[in-house]
Amino acid sequence: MKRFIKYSFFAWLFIGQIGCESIVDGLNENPNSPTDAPAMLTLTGVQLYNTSFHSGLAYLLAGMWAGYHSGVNRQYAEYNNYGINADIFNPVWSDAYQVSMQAQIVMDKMEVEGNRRIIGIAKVLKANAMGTATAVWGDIPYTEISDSDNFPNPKFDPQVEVYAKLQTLLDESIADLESGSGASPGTSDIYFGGNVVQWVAVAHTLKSRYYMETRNYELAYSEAEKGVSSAANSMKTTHGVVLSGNQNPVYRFLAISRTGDISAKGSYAAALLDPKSATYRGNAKTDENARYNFNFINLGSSGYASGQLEPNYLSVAGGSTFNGIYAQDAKFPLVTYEEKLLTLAEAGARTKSFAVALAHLNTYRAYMNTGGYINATYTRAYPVKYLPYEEADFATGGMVNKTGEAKELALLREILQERYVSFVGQILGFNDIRRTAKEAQGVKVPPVFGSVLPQRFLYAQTEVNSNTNTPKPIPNIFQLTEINK
Amino acid sequence: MKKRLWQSLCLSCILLGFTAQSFGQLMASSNDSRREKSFLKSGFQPKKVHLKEFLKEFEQKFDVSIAYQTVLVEDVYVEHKLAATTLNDKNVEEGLKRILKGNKLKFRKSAEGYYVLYRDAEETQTPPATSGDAKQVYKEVSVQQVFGVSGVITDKVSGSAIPGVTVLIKGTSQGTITDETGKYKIEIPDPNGTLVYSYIGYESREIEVGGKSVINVILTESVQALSEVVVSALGFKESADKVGVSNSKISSEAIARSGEASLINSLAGKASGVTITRTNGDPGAGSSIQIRGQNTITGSSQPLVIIDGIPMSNSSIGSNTGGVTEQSRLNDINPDDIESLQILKGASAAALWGSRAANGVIVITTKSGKKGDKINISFKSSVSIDKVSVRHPMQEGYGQGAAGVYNPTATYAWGDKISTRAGGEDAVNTNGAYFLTPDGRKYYAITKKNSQDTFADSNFDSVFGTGHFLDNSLSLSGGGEKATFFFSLGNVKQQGIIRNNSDYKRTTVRFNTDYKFNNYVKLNTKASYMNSFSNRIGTGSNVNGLFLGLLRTPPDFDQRDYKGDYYADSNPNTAPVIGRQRSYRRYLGNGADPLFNNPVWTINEQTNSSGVNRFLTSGELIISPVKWFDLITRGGVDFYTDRREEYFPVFSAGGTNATGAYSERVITEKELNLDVIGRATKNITPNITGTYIIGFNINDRKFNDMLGTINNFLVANAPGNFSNALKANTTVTNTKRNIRSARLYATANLGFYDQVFVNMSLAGESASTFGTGSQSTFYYPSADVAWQFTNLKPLANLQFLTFGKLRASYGVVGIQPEPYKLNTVYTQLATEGLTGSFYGNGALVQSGLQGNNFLRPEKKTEYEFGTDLRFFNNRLRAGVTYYQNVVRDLLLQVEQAPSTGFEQKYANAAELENKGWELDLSYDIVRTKDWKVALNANWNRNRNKIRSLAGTESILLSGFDTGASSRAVEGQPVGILWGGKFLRDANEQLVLNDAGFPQASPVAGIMGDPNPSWRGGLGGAVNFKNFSFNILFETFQDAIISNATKGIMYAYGTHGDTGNEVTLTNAMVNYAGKTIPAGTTVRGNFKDFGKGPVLLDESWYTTLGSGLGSVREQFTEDGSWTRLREISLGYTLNSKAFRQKTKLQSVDFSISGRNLHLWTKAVGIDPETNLTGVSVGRGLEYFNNPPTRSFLFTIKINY
Repeated sequence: MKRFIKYSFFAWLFIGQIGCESIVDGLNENPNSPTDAPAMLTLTGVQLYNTSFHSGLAYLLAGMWAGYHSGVNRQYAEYNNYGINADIFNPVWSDAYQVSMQAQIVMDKMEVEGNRRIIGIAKVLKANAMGTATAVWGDIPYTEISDSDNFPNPKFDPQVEVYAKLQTLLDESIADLESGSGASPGTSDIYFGGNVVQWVAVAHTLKSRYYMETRNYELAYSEAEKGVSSAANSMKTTHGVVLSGNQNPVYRFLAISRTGDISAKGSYAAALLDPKSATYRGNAKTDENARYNFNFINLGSSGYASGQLEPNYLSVAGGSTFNGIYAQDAKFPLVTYEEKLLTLAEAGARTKSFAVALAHLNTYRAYMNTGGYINATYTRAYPVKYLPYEEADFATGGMVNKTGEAKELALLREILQERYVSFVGQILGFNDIRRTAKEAQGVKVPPVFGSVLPQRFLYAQTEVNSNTNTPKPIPNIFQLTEINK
Repeated sequence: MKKRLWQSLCLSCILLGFTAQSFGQLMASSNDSRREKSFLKSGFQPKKVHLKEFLKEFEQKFDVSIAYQTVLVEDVYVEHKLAATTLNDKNVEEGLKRILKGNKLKFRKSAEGYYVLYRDAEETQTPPATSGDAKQVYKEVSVQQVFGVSGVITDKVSGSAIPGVTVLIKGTSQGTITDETGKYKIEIPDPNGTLVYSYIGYESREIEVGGKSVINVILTESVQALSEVVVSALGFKESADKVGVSNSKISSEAIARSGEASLINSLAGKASGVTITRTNGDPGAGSSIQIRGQNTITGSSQPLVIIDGIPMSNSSIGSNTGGVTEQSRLNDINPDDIESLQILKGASAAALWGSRAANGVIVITTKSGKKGDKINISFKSSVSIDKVSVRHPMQEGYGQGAAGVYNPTATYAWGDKISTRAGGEDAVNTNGAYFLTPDGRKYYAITKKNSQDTFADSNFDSVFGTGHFLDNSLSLSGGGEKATFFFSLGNVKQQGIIRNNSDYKRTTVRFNTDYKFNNYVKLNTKASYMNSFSNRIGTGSNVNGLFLGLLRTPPDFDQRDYKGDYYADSNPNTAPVIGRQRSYRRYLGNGADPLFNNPVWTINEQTNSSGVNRFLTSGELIISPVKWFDLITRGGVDFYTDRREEYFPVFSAGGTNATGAYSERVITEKELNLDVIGRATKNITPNITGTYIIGFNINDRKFNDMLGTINNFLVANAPGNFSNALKANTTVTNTKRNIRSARLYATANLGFYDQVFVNMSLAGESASTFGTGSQSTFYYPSADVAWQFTNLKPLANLQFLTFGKLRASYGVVGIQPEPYKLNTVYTQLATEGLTGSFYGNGALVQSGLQGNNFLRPEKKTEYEFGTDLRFFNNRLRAGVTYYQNVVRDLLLQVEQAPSTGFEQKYANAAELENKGWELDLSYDIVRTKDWKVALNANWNRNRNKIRSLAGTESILLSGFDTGASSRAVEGQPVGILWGGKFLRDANEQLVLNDAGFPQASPVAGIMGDPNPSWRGGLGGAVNFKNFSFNILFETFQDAIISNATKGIMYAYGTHGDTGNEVTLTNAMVNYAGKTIPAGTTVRGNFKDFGKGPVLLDESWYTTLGSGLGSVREQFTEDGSWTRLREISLGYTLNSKAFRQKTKLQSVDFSISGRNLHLWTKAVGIDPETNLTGVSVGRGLEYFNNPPTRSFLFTIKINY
């Protein structure tokens, strides 16, 4: 009996142990998600992450601090007073670096297939996100990113170097796109269906943008010349009416998720565009009625920010007769024809001649005179007028020279203001006002709290937590970034 | 397929092989070691049977215990015929009487139900002198009579006489036995000898005669009788005095006395080291159980529940910062079915459950039937009346609006001073839009607010009322010699304190049977079915929630007309919008989205239900081929389906719900468990006892969660059905999970000289969730030792110290990794409301969570030392325990720098420790026949610290990413409160601006520790005759709570504090920088941040001083509390006359109260709450539904 117990115990232990392991084997394959996916589908992911980054909180804050709109309730009332902490930036920061990571995955897979067309597209998208990131954060991790095995703590590259590297990246992308190799991603490219020409134009526009931001106006001009050739070739994300599906993220914020938190109360842009305002920028050749109403709306007690002027979220799809700038299905602009024209105008004013700059400005005004980027529901219902300016209009006493300065300066002032009001809905406005802060002709958005405007975003708390190379302490929002010092 | 087959073959072989082989072997080998043959069936038929043999047979046959002194039955024989007929008689006591009669023996039935034999006193006095006969001993006594001693032996507690006590002359086998009146008389050879008085269940006493002729002796119940029986992790009964770990056992009476409808809450305050945290006062709301602090960071923090030997799910799925409060699945159990509930706190006690036991194990045994001639019927009915126990203070002085100006659609209540209004009816514009209520009232746009009416109370009362529940349970039990059964029906019907859609109904059926086929084979089955249905109300951060809307509503808005038709203008031809919601920000219903729900809409129009069907069934086959060996095969299944439906009618708040939203979610969990256990009890030497167990366990858990959602209804009021939306507005998601583990285990329990007890165990476990890159089997050893030092000779007779035990233990337990974390996966992108499937050909992106193939279980190693002492004949009982543990390889989502492209990596990376003291005390102050007064107390402190967190500064456990949260931070206890802070200098002093106001720090930080520095329970019981009174206090000290609700109410200007007015003696600058002249009376408060008092007014409360602002630390409060947890008064009617008249055994009446009083510094809340329900995080309050206090009436009828 004892022997039996002894033997059976050992036998049992032995068989049992093997048994134990085999019983539980092979059950840990994830039944819910795949472990790989086609690169084309990830390419779409890069484009959406890039959209999410530019149209999410990054825009809401940049727009708020640029005087496009105001935080009036709950958390946003305090962000409006420049009270914010690093936690708030977690999703924004994450989106920016997801663009890079997913783009890297696409590039690695396409490298194997030798598809330089898609590699080029991925590089443009990465340059777009990283460019905005360095503009709003200053020094950012760049050279050591998207490679956790080798660089678990990516170093922060100086802002100036990041801009330089982005120019190189965009040059590479243009070379890749123009190499002629690689099948088209087709409809997986939600912007241009793989059209190389359109992508190359976007790459040049981005190059011109980064030269502008680093004040290299000569190169900005020459790159802009090769930029987006028409409104139809702008890179804008299409949105639809499906809740939590494809609605315009700003609409979703204003009308769905954080109703009433943001209004346009005290908006500096509204004060410039509102025909009833003392600071109205219109004149005999300019009627901003349509643009003002397209951008802003006051719905009285039915509005989300009761009785206040609000960013215009009216949607035909929601039963309105109008489509505001943030309608449910309004396209979100990322790299546009408008930007290209206005870059030519500003860079032209700075590096070419009065005449060249005026000509570019008038090209833009002619485009706007036909409605431009304003939704047709507004251009039909409200007056639109952007007649060409003449040199005399900028001369002392001219209709666009209210301060009595030299015509060149008056033209630059007008171009900068035009850029400011045209970039409502984009982070570019925030970048512009910081770049031109020291220039008398720059748009001077009055701070709503204290005496200085925010100069940057805070590094995300997640990066602070986990990257030992994060500067300590992190720069506060009033510290100038390197390029604006 | 091949692999599968091999696996199952392998498994079957192991199981069947062992079972069959061992059974066969054992049966075969039982020829030589077979138990004593039944005399009835033995081949020869002697005329007489040894009484001892007969009694053994008798005990088995009728499953009774008979106690006797060996001398009594030595050489006593009874007629075979008499014995046989007696054994076939059904009446136990008659039979005993008959068989004992001829031998001058008597018996009495003890309180515990066993029989005690004693010698008929008369007989002792005149023992027969026949030599060689059974009574020889006594004959010797009488022959050598030299000195006579007599006396009475009484029970210490009751004072009543004890018949049947053996009185022996020390050093001889000579003695006598007390008679029915407890008297004895003995003749001893030496007047200086010593007498030994002993009786089963009592402490033996030795008394020197010293020439006395009368010795009256008081006996106290022995330790053994008092000795608690505890249940081991495998469900075996053990003597509490022989284990080296501390145990907390909660009796069925204590559970019943709490008057809680749900089991988990009834455990609160009753055991040291156990913290129960309820979510809120919702009916059926889940509660968290925490044993000896936090043992994990990202794993489940809840203990493993073993019911009748099998694990049962206690999941609480869906607890979040918003939504509704979900239930805890352990509460599906009918508390009245529970026989005993025991909490295995330490690692050593729980180690056999390996990687599921790190949070402790709760072992529940359900009731079974008792043998008897009659069926026992018990019916219990309780009625509870529940009220809201704590309310937030609200101001009623100022109206809706901003900057002191009334605005009927404003978000905040920073409007005009209500008392300065003209009074009377509001001026309205009857030519414009209006809202028409179903009973014909019209609301027009207000042009001038005149009314001074306020509605804070009527608004509150329109959603809260008196809650109640009716709890009925019926049980039938009984049984015969072969089988016993327990059957119960339970039904709870609860209506919450929130009116209408807040309720909980639970119906349970249980049928437990024990069947004994013969002496070798026994089968126990436990089967139960549970059904519950509950309507849940939105809570927390939820615009459709109850409190979020109510506490933000300005005092001058009457919310009672909440639904009606909206007319856009006064034109009679205008078609109305039917069924619009009217809320304080849309008082005309002039918008599809009311922004925040009117709370009356929340309770009447929205539904959120959960319907659970659950089967919990187990069976146990015990084969005992030889007396010392049992083969136990125990299997069970726990299966439930939770079907949840949520319906937001059109015009509910929130963009996603304003167009209508409906979802149905079906959660299914199935857990199969099988144990095959061999258990042997064999003494190595007479002084070294041993019990050995080897076992095999296989456990398989399947989980399936399917959710369908639609929004944007096609037909506004259509029933909840997925067809009521376009395809684009229909979403279906599902999640599957299957986890399996297999375990081999062995234990050895050794006892040395009835003084030192050593228990050792080892479990080896494989689980499907372990990484394929790491080893696949992990071992969980444990050992404990108990030393009853009062059994040492020099300590044996201490008067004050009745019993003493020192104990020490060591054990290792674990927490399994989550499944499916081995690889990095690709998921459909979803960010900022954008979903990949709406773009291109879909957008699949690599998850930000990096896979890890080297996952190991978290391992907790614990040491425990303690002592159990009993003083003054067990009147004072104390248990002290010190433990310390280290949890290594803690699994967590290690935060990666987002710039690396991965945000997290699930890895074994962190380490934490717990150290603590536990103290349990009880003292019987009075213990007489009629009176019993007792006190009991439990106390514990736990110190928890995260030793390392893999370099990550903080990990969100629950709460708001950017608001107040409960986190893991290195060097801090798990769950530390985290949020925005004021800017401080190097000396931790506030950095103030010129005006004296503080500023926000750009980074968040630690706000306070929500874990108490200690907690304790103090209970008292007074019994007088048939009356009983019980009281229980519980306290929870030095814990911080984040009262974020208060912060939000500050911002909204609805909190009582924001209704104050101050008059300025000097000109002051407010937060916005505006100078306010001296003499002005301002709505606000003064506060000194360090540079002298500053004025806190609207400009402060709506920005930096707002609970929505970036500084959350200003809304943390001392969350310590002390409460009158339970109080009850009961009476039992069981007089003889009553019993004869009614044929009932007894009727119990009781009246009790729960949470009747609360002492706390927290304002407006009961700090015993948690926003995120049953989660690792704690200490967060954010519009949590309110707590309750209750009165309860119970009647219990026993037949």
